[in-house]
Amino acid sequence: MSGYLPHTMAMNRRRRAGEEAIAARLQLTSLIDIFTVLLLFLLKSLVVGGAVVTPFPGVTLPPSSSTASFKEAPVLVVTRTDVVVDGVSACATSDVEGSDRLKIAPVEVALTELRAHSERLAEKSANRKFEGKLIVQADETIPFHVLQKIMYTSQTVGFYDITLAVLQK
Amino acid sequence: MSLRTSGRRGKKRRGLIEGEELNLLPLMSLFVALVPTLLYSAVFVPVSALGIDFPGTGGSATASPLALTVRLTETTIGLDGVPDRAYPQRDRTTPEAWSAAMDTVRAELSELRAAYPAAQGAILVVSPLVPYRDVVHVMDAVREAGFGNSTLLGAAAPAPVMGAGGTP
Repeated sequence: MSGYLPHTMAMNRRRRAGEEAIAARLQLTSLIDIFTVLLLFLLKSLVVGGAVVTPFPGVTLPPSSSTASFKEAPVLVVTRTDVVVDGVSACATSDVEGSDRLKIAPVEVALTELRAHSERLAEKSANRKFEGKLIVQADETIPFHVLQKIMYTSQTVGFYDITLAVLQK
Repeated sequence: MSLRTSGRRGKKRRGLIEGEELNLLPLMSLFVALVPTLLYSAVFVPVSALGIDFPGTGGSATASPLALTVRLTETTIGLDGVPDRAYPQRDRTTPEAWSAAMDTVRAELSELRAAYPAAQGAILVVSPLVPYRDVVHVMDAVREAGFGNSTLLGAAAPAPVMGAGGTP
């Protein structure tokens, strides 16, 4: 990669003397070194299916000493304001909090759709089947009864294998 | 970046020999495209999984010889379900009291683990308003003591978390 530096006195002098312009070369070796190191670091941190293990924006996961890894599964998020099923808000957390029933209808509807979608995908793929797995990301301040209602509703829809997402200490 | 052989070093330069230069532009373009993509998808917050059991779904506590129960309320924590032993419910209203109570519970869990090596799982009975963070804290203590996953139950709930159900 080369460029020319015109209008310098030295260049003008040389031009006058009949010599050719000096090519100024950009030294890219160090930049490529930086990029290579950065690329390797980022490849190491890359997670396929990142939505599973990436905390939902606005959710503070509780710290835990657990180091177990996830298996791929749909994610249900309980933020301070919303219950989000597969990326779409199902209802407000305050609605769950105020409900006197364990089964929350909007969450049930969203999870039923999610199950149907998972089963349709499973029909198309031989090595994939619906296993009833669900990952729950909940904010650390959420009262237990909200979580209890969400988990109960999930189980009634067929998501029996629930895993909690926590922040590694 | 140029590759110049020693034979040409002494010759008078007549211009750039373009054919001998490594063209790094495609590599740079690739890096410039890859780095933001990877930065976007990289996860810098270590998130891990915490398994839980539910009554009626075959949790480890179901088949355990010890019906170890940890009762967690907004103000107290204590063990229960151990034959011939009664544990007091310890105060946890302040952070200091909570920390001290957890230290005691951890010690008691370790003792029980030694006394009942075949015991697996613990039933965690949680009051409705206990923050999720505290539930995870207790689940950690149970797991670290060697009892494995906790079975979650809601205290004073209108119905259990899950009745005996079939398989998905």
